[in-house]
Amino acid sequence: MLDTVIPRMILLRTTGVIVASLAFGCSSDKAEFGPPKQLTKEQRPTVWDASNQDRLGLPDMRGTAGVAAAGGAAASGAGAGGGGKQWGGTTPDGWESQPANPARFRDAQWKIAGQPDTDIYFTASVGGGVTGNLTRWYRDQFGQPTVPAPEALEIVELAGGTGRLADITGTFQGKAGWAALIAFRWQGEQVTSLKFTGPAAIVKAQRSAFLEVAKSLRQASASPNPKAPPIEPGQPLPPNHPPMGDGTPSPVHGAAPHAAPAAAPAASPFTATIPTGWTAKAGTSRALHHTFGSDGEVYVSQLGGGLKPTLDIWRGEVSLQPMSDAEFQALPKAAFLGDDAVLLDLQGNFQSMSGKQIQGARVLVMARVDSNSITFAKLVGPAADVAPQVDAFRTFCGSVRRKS
Amino acid sequence: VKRTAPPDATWPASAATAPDAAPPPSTAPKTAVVAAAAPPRARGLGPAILGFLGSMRLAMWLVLLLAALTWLGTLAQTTRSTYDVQREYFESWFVLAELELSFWGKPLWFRTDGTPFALRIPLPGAYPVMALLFANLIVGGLLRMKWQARNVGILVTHVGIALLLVAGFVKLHYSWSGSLMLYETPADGNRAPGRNYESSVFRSFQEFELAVLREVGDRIEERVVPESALYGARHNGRVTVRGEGLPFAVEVHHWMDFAKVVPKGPNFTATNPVVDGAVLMEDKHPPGEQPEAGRETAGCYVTIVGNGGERIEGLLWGFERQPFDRQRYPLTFTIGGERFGLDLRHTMYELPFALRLDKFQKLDHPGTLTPRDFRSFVSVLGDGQPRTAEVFMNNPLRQDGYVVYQASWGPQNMAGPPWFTGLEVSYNPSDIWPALACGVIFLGLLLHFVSKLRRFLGSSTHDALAKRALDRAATGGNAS
Repeated sequence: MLDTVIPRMILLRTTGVIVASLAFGCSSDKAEFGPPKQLTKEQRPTVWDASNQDRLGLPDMRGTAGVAAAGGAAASGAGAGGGGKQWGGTTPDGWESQPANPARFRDAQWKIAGQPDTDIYFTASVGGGVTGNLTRWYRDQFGQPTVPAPEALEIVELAGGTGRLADITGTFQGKAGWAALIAFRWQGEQVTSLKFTGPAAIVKAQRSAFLEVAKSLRQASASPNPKAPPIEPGQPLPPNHPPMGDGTPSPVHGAAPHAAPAAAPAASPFTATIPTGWTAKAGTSRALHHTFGSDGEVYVSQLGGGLKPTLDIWRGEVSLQPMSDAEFQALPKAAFLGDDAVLLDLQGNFQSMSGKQIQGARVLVMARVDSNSITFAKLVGPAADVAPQVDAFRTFCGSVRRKS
Repeated sequence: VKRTAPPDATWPASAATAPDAAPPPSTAPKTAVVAAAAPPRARGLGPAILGFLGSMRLAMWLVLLLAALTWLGTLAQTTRSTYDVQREYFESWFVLAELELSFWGKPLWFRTDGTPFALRIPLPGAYPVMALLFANLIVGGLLRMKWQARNVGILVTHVGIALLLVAGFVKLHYSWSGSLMLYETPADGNRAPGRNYESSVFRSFQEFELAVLREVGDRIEERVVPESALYGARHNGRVTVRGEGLPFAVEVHHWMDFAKVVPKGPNFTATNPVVDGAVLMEDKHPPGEQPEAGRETAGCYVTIVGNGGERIEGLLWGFERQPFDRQRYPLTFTIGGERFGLDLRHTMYELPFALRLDKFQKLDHPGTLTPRDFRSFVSVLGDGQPRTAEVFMNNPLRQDGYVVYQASWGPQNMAGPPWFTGLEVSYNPSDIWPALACGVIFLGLLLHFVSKLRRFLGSSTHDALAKRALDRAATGGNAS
């Protein structure tokens, strides 16, 4: 009868669904490649024997060996995530600089003279996250029962930024009476740290020297050929070089650009010769973004809109009134992107639209109308820091080129 | 009015009047009669199955299930990508739907690990539900439809709904789509090496495949296995892939749908194998970012086991480089003196023609860099003379059964010109079926409405109403 059959049908259907689900849900541990297909090499352009770095789009992890310290400073070669930059810092009295060891992610190293048990090294931008590292340092290496939150730790200066200090004492890898000072800062999963381990008495005695080193660490350009300009993130690689690791964001399937490979530098559509003393700024969306001095920065960017209104907006950032047409026409010209551009040189108390403030600032802008947008280079900083950079800025602007 | 209306016997409602029933003597409109003949009493399993498949009760439950799946699937999209939810809820046979218990956006209960508690509701996926609905439509129509001229509209409407379901089935199983990204071809012919200026290959948005390649003379021999065959390698699983004539097997393990590769540094302990200094890790969307499967890159580890017992460990990541670089960089290894490549990549589809981007045009809103129009000027390269076409929003290129849409452009970091274009390529045999189905449904409803109207105009009810209206007009509106 229908009434008695329907429950049976529901049961049958449910069983069928479950069987089908199991069949679809439980994947097999065996599979077969499909039949071979013959294609031309044009259809499947293939780079054989590519290195892991090229194949996986990894940054240049293992660069040349470090440069030995000289002149009272420790310095390194290419470091992990360092984008092929050297790291350098002061070497206090009683410390001995050691060659960097990029293969062990040590971008700069020191020891205390005559104390072979001491180990001091700097590691730039390596993954692992701050929580994971604190756990590793406190619990795994020193056996501490509790791991503090990073916000609870002392604030210190590290490599041109603000970081925290982990000060740990205890048994380190089976050695009682040891201590560690670890200055660290983080951005996302990337952690930069200066770590000092050794007998507790030595570590504590060297605390102030350690903090000085942490404060002094800076990234500097390096090139195997001292006459060659440094390679910027995003700059074209030599011909026939697999174009990975240049930081070019890779788009995916019709949507917005894909995330760049892990730890790859930001994309830059421009190339330029970077003046000495400028330091590439990480984690920025602006092109050729560099810092200099105490609070100076320079970058290249683009905006929509007319040239004069845009220049007037920048004048407004230092509380200056809009220009008259005559003043606009009289602006000096200089080379930028291979053509003439107007040069704006402003002074005053700077306040950007993003809220950044600099008292007694000087602003240099090189801008040109480019197609239907404005392409410009802008340098902002304390007037005292900017003054020695004026010529460098003009030279820099003259060297800016679009990547082909 | 004599009515026989068992709760399960009203379909199709308007066609259910018993053929031998006398015209209703009352003033009630004839069309209001919804009495239906009872379904044939079941005699044996076959008729019982047919009776069940064609029942209104089943239709009601199926529609309720579809509503529940749609609601739960929509909620799931707050934390999962649309693609994943579509696959899990709407293209599957079975789903364990999650419903977070909350009030006004605030979770009511939490698990011990602090995550909100969610009910897990086992439900059939929308796939079997819609298949049953299709069967229900057909069987119900056949069993209950009165084959009379006045029911043509109902019949046509049912055909339209069935066509809509068939279109969905064909799209699911026999269509594919992906992206093709091309750089503007330099006018001076000075092409940058590796860049994708013209191509006859497009790549799936979300799906991956594992390909084994080898050079055979001046050609490349390629074999592929789809990612769905490798899902057994998720978590702690391991899938062994073989190919006829290949001197090795590939053991795939640690499969991750969304992976990233990072250099293994000293600051973290890798839970996955480290291969040549690199480690594969599960990735996740940044907080606040709507999950999007198109941004998820699959990855896995492989162990290549030669027939002679050799073992080679490798790491694969389906990183996409087009249009900056059209080349692929497979994991290269040598077995038995022969070189092979293993490549994890987005599923690649061949077009019967090639496309070249001759020019890309982007027009901005005044005073901004926000585009108000962007379009691609392409050449279609086939066997004959190339033909040019303009692809822009709502103006796709149709060629050999494929449809090419304007989807995106770049670089969006101020680097153009030169620009590149992002085209969506779609192949769908049922492309216009939904539009046809809507037309058929419209026609069916129109026929049904006209049929009803005609019957009403010829009915005694209409006559009575007309007479009453005339009386009212004659008495100056005072007739009651």
